[in-house]
Amino acid sequence: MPIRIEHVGRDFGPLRVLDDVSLAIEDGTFVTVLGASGCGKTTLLNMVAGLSPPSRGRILLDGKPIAGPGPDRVVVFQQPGLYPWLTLRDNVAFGLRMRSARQIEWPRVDEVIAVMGLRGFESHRPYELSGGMQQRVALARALVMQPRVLLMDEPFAALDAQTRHNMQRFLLELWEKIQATVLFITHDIDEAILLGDRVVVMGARPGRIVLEQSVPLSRPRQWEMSLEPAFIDLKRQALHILAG
Amino acid sequence: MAGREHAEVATLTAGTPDPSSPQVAIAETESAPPPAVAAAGSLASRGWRITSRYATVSVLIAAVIVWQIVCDFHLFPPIALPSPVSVLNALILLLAHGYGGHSLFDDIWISSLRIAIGFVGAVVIGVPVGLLMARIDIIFRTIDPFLQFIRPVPPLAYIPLLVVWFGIGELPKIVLILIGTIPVIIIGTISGVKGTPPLRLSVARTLGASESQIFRHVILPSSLPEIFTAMRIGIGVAWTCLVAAELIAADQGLGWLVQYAGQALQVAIVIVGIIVIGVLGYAMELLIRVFERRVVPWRGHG
Repeated sequence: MPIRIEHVGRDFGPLRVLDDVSLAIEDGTFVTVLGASGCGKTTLLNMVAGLSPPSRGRILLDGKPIAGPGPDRVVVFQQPGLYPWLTLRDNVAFGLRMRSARQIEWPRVDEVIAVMGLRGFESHRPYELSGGMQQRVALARALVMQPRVLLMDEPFAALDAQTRHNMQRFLLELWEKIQATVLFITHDIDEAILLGDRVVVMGARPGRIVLEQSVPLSRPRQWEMSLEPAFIDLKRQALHILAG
Repeated sequence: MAGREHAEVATLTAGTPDPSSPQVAIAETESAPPPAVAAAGSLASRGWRITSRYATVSVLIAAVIVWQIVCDFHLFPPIALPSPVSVLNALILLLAHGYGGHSLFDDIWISSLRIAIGFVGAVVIGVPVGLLMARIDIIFRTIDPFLQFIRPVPPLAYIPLLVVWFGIGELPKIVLILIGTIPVIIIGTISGVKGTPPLRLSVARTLGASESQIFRHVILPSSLPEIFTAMRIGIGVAWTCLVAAELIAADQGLGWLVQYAGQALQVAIVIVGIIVIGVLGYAMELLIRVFERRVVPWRGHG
């Protein structure tokens, strides 16, 4: 059980953003957290990432409380956040360079670049790449660290509809290969159900978990599954909660 | 029918020689749209492109022509406003024989050397101080009051003090350049550091970078574009400070040349000096721009 979130709350001044959230993420599962904007889902992810501490409760990684950010919990943010002074290859290798500048495992960097379909663009600068490619570089930069948990904070929300669709398909295929442990935040119901093994639906003011449910769809996932009754049932439940 | 009418109009117009309507040639095609509209549109946009491409050169030439005309009509006494031709003669004279004991190249050389030492010194001091001030609060609080005090005082005001302290050698000029330029560089550097996008920091943190690694690999490169902007403003300030110092207390340099020639009412030489100062300042700015494009090619690309 890599991640255990135990009775976690978070206040910003007098404002209670998160109230008593408990969640466990098992090894090799893809957990999606679905919620309207402002429900505190990004706050939750930031606490798991170690970027901000919880006001109440605790978050354990392999039984140990999280003290700060670390490469065992790399985040893919909504914006790619690539470094424009580095080439694509150096952006992907950034975390490895921080770990040890002298022993960057270049074969692994190049393998991840190939898996992400970025081969041939190694020496390009981020601003020479499309939005979808930039986000794939951000994903490559995270995966090359082989994190215990991959945290994704609405990674496709800033992309156009077509690119988002492609990225979702790409992520599904990728996940079949690597079976990583993923905590994925989104406000898109279809995305949450299609990608997740488990869907966690959050309510707002204060943020809390309202529904936690396994997705009754087989793997590998296909886009057509969004037409199956099981998908539609879960979607209806989620819609009711999000509509308040 | 409409096309035939246009053709007729065109023929008629072509019959009367009118150099101001070049659209005639286009109107001769049978299927052409109303000639005035089409031709005016394309000619105007083409003309506009040519105009904007040569705008700088055209305006310069026009200015010189107007200047020459003003002189030809004797609107001002020639001693106050020499003509472009006599300024050109002054330049040739300066290049051939120099003025006041040394050649024009000596003055350009000594001024450039002072600028180079002063400006490089300001960058070498200003950037690290700015970085420290941006990162360590107590250093910011210690230095900032001095910075804010020095800044609004015009550099000219320091010159008498610097002359008393350091004489009229090289030192007071370089110190004045430092006084004028260092604050610009420091403020630009601080602003660059503070302007580092938070996302870049969060990314580095979650990838396991230490605070010193974040500083070196994220904050420093992120602040480079702002540091370059500061350098471009700074080189102008440095140049202003230097010429001011040379005007008041120097025995060579371009500022001295202008001042010395002015006292002798050699206005043509004064104008040559001003033009050389302007051209050199512009060249330095261009040099930094070239340097900037090499060091921060990502500028303007987020």
